[in-house]
Amino acid sequence: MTSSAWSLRARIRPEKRKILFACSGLFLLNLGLFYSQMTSGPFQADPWDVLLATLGLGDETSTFIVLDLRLPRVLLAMFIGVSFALSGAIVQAICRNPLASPGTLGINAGASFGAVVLLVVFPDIPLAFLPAAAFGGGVFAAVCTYSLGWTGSSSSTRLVLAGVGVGVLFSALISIVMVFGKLQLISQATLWISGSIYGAKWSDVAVIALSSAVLIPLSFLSVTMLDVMAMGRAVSIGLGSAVERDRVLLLLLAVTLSSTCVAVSGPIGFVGLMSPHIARMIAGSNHRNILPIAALTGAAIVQAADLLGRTVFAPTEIPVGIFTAAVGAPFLIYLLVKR
Amino acid sequence: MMSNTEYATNENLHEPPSQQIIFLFMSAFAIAALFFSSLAYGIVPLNTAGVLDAFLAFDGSREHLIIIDTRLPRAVLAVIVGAALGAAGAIMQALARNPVAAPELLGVNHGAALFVAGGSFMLSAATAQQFVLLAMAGAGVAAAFSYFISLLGPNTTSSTKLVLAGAAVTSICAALIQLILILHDQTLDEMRFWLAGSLIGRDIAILGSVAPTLVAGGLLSIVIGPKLNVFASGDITAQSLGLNILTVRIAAVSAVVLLAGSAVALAGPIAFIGLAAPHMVRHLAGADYRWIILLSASTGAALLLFADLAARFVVPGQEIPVGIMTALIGIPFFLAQVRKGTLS
Repeated sequence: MTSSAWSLRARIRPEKRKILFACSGLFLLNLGLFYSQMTSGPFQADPWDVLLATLGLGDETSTFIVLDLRLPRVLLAMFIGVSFALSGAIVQAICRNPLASPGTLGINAGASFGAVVLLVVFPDIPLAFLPAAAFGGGVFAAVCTYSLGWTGSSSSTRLVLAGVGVGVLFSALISIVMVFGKLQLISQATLWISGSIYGAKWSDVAVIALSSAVLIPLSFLSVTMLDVMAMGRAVSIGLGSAVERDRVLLLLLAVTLSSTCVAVSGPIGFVGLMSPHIARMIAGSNHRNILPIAALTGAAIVQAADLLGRTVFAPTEIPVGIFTAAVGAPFLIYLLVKR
Repeated sequence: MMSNTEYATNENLHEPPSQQIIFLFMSAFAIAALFFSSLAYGIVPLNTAGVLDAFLAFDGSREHLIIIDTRLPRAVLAVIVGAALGAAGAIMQALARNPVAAPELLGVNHGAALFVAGGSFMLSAATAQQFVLLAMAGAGVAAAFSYFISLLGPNTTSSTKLVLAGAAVTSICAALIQLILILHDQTLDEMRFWLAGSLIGRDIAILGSVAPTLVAGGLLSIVIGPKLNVFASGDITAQSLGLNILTVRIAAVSAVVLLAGSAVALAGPIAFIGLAAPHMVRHLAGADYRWIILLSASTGAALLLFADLAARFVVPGQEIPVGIMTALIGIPFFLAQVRKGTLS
């Protein structure tokens, strides 16, 4: 008994070390990206100035640039990356399908639809309700996809096909809403829909930080549920979990995570698809390890995409969503070919 | 693989095609009726009786000018583009042995748009002729790319793989288009009109430059019908019956590219006609691809005429781009296909 327990621990140990190693590596990567985001740009600030300004001790120009322009943007990028990645990891566990993600299930398109309806059709409603509208749209799309594509116990490729269809449907609906609206409102919505964190404000950061403060701990609390879910319906029931209830709760969690992001930044594709895959390559199948690595990976992807978007074609800003799509779509092709 | 049964039932191949002939007449009647409505109804209310006068006794009045100069080219384009897309969809689905292999789902529209945008950005292409060539090349490259990806790796007939490969190609193209439009304001100005996907205000003269490819695609799709009947019985059976699989594949892909490419060049991105039309005729057309292609073409024409007509009335006083209208009509067919559970 003792000897088998010992050998088990010996087997786990190098795994643990690997996870810790990966986590700290990703953390350092994020830190490096954070540093280059804060220091690079048309206004060349040396690290010392940036540090001083962050602490509120710099001169007026650098304080404005660092505190009002760069810091909210970097924080927003991080939060968005984390949320999309967690949402993707949860969705992939529920669907037991590596191709599932907030994007392929139509959730992002639904959330965008909700937000565009609010922006264009009801311009009088304050923007504070934008997350709620996006959430409503996201839930609606998820329900559509779920009811069209769910086959019960069997494999869930149908779910992905239904999700693609629902996504296209909502995109068409968005275009129709755009025809309704006034020109000024439409150009605002168009800017937003391309998935950009250009012009991030502290109020945006506040929205996503508040929701993250609730949602991220919730996600980490649900790791056991996710592990059980990933084993399939029959095993989950055998293990005594209320599968249907858990699935709905987890789906709600995933939808909330991605809709909040969509409300703030517009749909940024493929982060929720790529991050969990990279995490699984590193961490195996235990969600206790997958979630933190996926979250760090997501944050790094969005930060890197934003950094590229700011610098490659400077002074023109390229929306983050373009770079994540440029990396993410080939990744999807790779997944398709490999399977 | 389950979906193959739909394509492989050849038992009623040589029955008298009465059902198909009735269907053909019905769709011809529908096209005629919709064509007339398309001339008579629109944002500007016109006297229905005056439509015939515009042709028989043209008097240069405002009404007659609207009918001859605006509505007639639009209706003609709808018929041509719809027929081309319907036929292309039918051939594509036979080729991929997959009921969701519509040209639109393979990224044809975005590929064409990318090439047109890239052409006007990098090569400063400006003439309609150049746009047509670029659109056709882009459509072909995107479709071939998606189809090729779905053939790589295991499980080559999976619908999910094909659809997601198309989705991936579409998002790459969309990202690149956006990049070009952001970097180059002038392109945005030129492209905005083209990207809308509509039949309004298209230069009917473009029809002349597209005509050769359109005719070639049409002829190819007539010739290829009997071959596809054999092809539908599966690669091994078809080969043992003496069919050169590779030749048929190449011919079918060329037909799809010629037809769908011409359609995109004519009207911009029009979604889902190529998916919906073959789906609508499948149960009535039987298993003979000569009929399936013909009836898909006629149904596609009727569908696009209908969508174009509906696009004038959905939002009061405003027209929505017909490409959006066809998406709204076509997606339910896709979802129904998914719901039926025959896809893998």
